[in-house]
Parts: sequence; C-alpha cells; structure tokens
Amino acid sequence: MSIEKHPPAQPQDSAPPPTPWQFVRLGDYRLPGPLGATAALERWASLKRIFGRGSEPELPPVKAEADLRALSQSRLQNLARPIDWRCAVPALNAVLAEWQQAAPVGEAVRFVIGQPHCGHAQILAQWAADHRAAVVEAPSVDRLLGDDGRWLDDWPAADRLWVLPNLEQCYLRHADGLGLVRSLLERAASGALGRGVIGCDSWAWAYLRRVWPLPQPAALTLQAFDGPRLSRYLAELVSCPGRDCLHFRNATTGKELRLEPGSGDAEVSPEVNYLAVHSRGNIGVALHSWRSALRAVPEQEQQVQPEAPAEVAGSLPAAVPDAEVDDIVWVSTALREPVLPAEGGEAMVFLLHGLLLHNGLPASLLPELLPQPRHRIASCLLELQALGVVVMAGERWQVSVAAYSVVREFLRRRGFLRDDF
Amino acid sequence: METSQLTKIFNTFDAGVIVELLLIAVAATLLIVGLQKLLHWLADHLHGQNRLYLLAMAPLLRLAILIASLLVIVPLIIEPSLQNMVALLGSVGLALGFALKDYASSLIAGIVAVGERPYRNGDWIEVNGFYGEVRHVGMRTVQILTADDTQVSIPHLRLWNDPIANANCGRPQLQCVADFYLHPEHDAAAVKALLQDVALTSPYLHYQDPIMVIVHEQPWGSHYRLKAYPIDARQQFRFISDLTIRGKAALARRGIRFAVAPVTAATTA
Repeated sequence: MSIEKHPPAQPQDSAPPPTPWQFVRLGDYRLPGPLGATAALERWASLKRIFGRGSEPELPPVKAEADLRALSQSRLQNLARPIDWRCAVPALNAVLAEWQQAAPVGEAVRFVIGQPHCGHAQILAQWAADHRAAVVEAPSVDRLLGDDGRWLDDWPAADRLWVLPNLEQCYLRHADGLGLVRSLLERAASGALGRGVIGCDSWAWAYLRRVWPLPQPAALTLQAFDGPRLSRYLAELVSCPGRDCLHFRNATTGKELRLEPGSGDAEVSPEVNYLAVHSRGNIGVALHSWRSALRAVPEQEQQVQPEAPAEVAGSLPAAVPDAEVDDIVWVSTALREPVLPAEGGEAMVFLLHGLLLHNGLPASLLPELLPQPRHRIASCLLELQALGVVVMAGERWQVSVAAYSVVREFLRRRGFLRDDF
Repeated sequence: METSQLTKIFNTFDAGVIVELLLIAVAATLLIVGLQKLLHWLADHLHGQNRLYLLAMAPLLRLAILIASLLVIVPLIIEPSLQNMVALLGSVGLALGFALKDYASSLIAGIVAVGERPYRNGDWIEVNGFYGEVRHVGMRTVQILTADDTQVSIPHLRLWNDPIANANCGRPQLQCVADFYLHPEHDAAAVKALLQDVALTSPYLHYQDPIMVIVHEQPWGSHYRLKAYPIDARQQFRFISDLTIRGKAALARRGIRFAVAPVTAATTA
C-alpha cells in the first residue's frame, strides 16, 4: 500500500473527498462482502481456527517475520494513530439534524447503536457537548438491582435535550436487573422523558430487544468500514511529511499495498479488503489489526526514530532520508489474534458472553450474573487475561479489541445470542 | 439339499478367494471404524445443528458400506443366479428365524431405525424408563448415556412395541422444566413475570425459543412450571439447576413463601 505520490489536482469547485464516517439505519448496515481470494482466505482461516491450527504463512515470505520489528510508538502514531472519535460527530450531526429540527413532533428518542470498540459513547459524549445536551450517567449497581426509580425521577427537564451514552450499563442480566431499563425504555419511547439520544452497545441492544421489544425504532449505527472506506481512512491516518516516499509492502509477497485517498472507485488492496471482511466492518478492530501488522526492518526503524519527543507529533527527524529514498513499511499478513482454548469450558464461554452483553463488567458483579463460583470466575479471568482475551478497562473487564473477532466467532459457532453485525 | 446342488450354489473356494474375502471384510471394518472415529472427531469440534448432522451420518454410512461389501462378497461365494439366491436366502432366513429370532429382529429394527430415525446420535431419548443421550446407533443396539454417566444398551427390537420418547428429534435444543411449589397466598401474576425474568437472565438460555410459565393451583399451594430451552441439549440438567437456584433466590428476596408438604403426605411418602 502506498500513498499516491502525485494525487490528481482537485479543481477549485470540486467536492472534498467523502468522509469515511457515515451513520445509517440499522437495516442499512452492509457487511463488507468477501470477494474471490478474500472469501477463500477468510474461510480457510476460520477452518484452521475450528480445528486448532495456527495461522502460519504457507509461502516463504519475502521478509521473514524474524527479520522485522514492530514499529515504535512514535512511528505508529505517525502512520496509524488511534481513532479520534470526534471525527465521527459531523456524520452523526448530519443524520440527526432533521430529527432535531422536527422537534417537538416526531420520535422523542433516537437510538445510536455501536459495535464494541467503535466508540459510540465517546461520539455521543462529544455530540452532547456540541449541542449543550445534558449527559445522563448510568445508574449505580445498587439502584439497578433495587429497581430504584429515583434515577428516572432525577432525569433532566423535559424541555432539555439529553444524551444517555451507555444504555448497556443501565441493566444487568439478573432477575432483579431488568426493571429499571424496562421503565426507562417505556418512558423514553412514550416521550415522557422529553427528547434525547440513547447510545447502546450492539450486543446489549440484541439482548434488550428481548427484554423490552421496541416497536421498530429508527436506530442508527456507523456504516461498516468496507474495503474502499477502510483504505481511505487508513490513508488519512498517515500524518508524517515524508508520506510521498512512503510505501507499504506485503511482507509475504513483497507486493505494494496501495492506499488511494479519496478515490472510492479505485481497486482496493486484497490485504485491506481482507482486513475489512475479517473485522466485519468494525473500525476499532480493523485499525487495531492494521497497527499490529505494521513492521519495519530494525536498521530502518532506527533511522526514523525521532531524536526528541517534540518531533513525534508530525515532523520527520533529520535522519530521515530525502525524497529519493523510499521509506518501506512492511505489512505482516499473519493475524495476531489471541487463541482461545478449543474447549475452554462453560465458565469461559459464559464469562465472555456476559462481558460482551454488558460491554464489560466489574469483577465484583460477575458471581451475581454467572452460575460459576467466584474462585472459578477469578481463575478464568486470569487465564483469559494472560492470553490477551480480556483486559481491565477502568474497573471493568472487557473483551480486548485484539480478541473481539475471535470471541465473536467462538460464540457464534456455539449458538449464543450475538449482535446483528 | 443334495451335495451336487450345494456345489452348484457355492463357488469353488481357493486360497485366492479366501484372501479376497478376508481383505474385503478387513477393509470394510477399517472403513467403518475409521469413518466413525473421523465423524466423531469432527463433531467434537462443531456445535449445534452441524454436530448433530455429522453424528447422524455415522449409522447411514455404516449401512452403506455394509451393503456395498455384501454386494462384492456374495458373487465371490455363490453363483449369483436367481435360483441360487432364492435357495440361499431361504436357508439363511430359516436359520435366523428359528435360532436367532431376537437377534435378527434387532438387526432388522436397526435398519428401520436408520431409515425412520426415531433416534439419532445426539438425541435425548427415553426407552423403558432409561433417559439419556444417544451415543451410538449400532447394528443390534442403541447405546445411550444417562445423566448419571451410565451407558445403557437397548436392543433395537424395542422399536416394534415400546414407546420411544425423543426430547429433541435432531435439534440441538430441547425443552426443560423447572418446578416451583409456592404457598398459595401470593401475587401470581408477579411471580409469573419474575420466573420469566429468571429464565431470560440465565446464561444457558436459547433466546430464539419461547419461555413459558404454567401455573397449576393445587390443594396445598401453587405449582409453577417454568419452561425454557437451553442452547445445547447437553446443558439441560445444569440449566434446570440454574433456573431452580436463581428462581428460589429471586422468590425469597420478594418474601414469597414456599409450599410445605402436608404432614400426612410427607409421612406417607
């Protein structure tokens, strides 16, 4: 993949390249379709996972993995910086503008559904700040289990726009943990709480529709990052000034991966397409896989190391070769995903499913929600943490972004309830 | 049957034919054993419907291999004319009918079982008071593994006369029932809703199937039957335990009293 050295000059009155961020109705979400070799690769990888085989490359690579090193944090920051969720806010503005203007008629509440690691809470928090909307915090565990209606009584005034970014934290899969969310959804859907936007994780959404079936709400979600969209986004992330001579090459085949900023019709590299299909359009997962696939030869990596921390943000250090010298970043084709034990036992499966349904849970709550004893859950958590499957985020255990695709497939094969993405 | 007629029916056996027969028998046996092991290995890596499809294929393939082997073996043993076949099958039929009636009946029932499929590998069946998962549909018997980890072999000939209860009929899910016996003084509608939530919050629940609560009023109290489906039939006992434990806890938190058996009934029992 390489960045276009000489992109065609844009006419003055031409439209800017389309943003990769787009919010659509849930029914309009389109999974990136596997095509040709991508489909075969995905199926082969899935088969190997089922029968416990690794993902070792079958051809002798152009660059052996042992000869390559992971990029330094500063270089990674220049080539594939973490997602700034504020970039998605204009797209959300665009779809909610009509709803806002229609006030006070029309639907009282809009739902925004996000896949894990797709930043729905951050996007909604920023949207709320931009629109001076009141942000409603999720209730405490005691209030959830006690069906304490004071949380709803303390709701912002009906004439004020409000945002509830984390509906997944407003219930517990517990016989006493569903009352409050039912009351909330009933009052919100009837308009009794005024106008607002509710954000919800996609797995919790799948579960809550069985708890309190909503009458076909016009829920929104981020459109899938398919091959062209992902390619455009990855190109946008490259922020170093030396991008003209920057080349991404497949470490196995040596072929160049081309990123074409702004040209959606251009042919997308099979590697990027595979990434989009494998991540099912989840931009958080796709970017994590991309970042962990980037490699450099050690000498080259030393050459581009910044001499001072101040240079990290954008400028290339003096040691960087001039424009005639190509800067090659190797892209590893071996997916670095944690491997789940083939038969990890019921405790592990239930734990992973429970974490996904709540988008993370504190350790103290897990024995309340799972049939296994506390010590079994604790040992299972430690085992999964060692494998890189779960991580502690704040005070909540979550399925890690690296393991999300594997865990989703693991649960799908076992027939567990999962999201619609 | 005279000796001259017998020699006409049977081919001459020489060492080559005997070796050929042995090779066919060994090859068929190896193929059957290998296929069954392979199918079970594959099934162990799969879940749900795919696992059951694979397990159900084992007896079908075994039958196909046996028929194919017989088709190859018979012409080696006898001259395959209509007259010879009638004479041989008649003799074999008579021998089986008198000496090995039950055995032959089980073999034939085994073939019927493969075709009619009253039970397949992975099904949960009850025959003559034995309830368990079908682990192997053999030529003569079906082997089930009970919840107490006991293997029970049941001859296929039970198929002719005994009722066979199949709880899942080739589906990965089956209905489970958790019973609750409550003191009659309570809000029945609230208890019904609570028990539904108990099922809805079980990690074992298969969400695509319905949850039902059936209430029976009895002289001693109220009998609630909570019916739901686990994700996998093999989880049924753990699912019922989970429903019972969490159901009792939820009812106790709301101060609902449980029914106590009357003294007379308890002593009689």
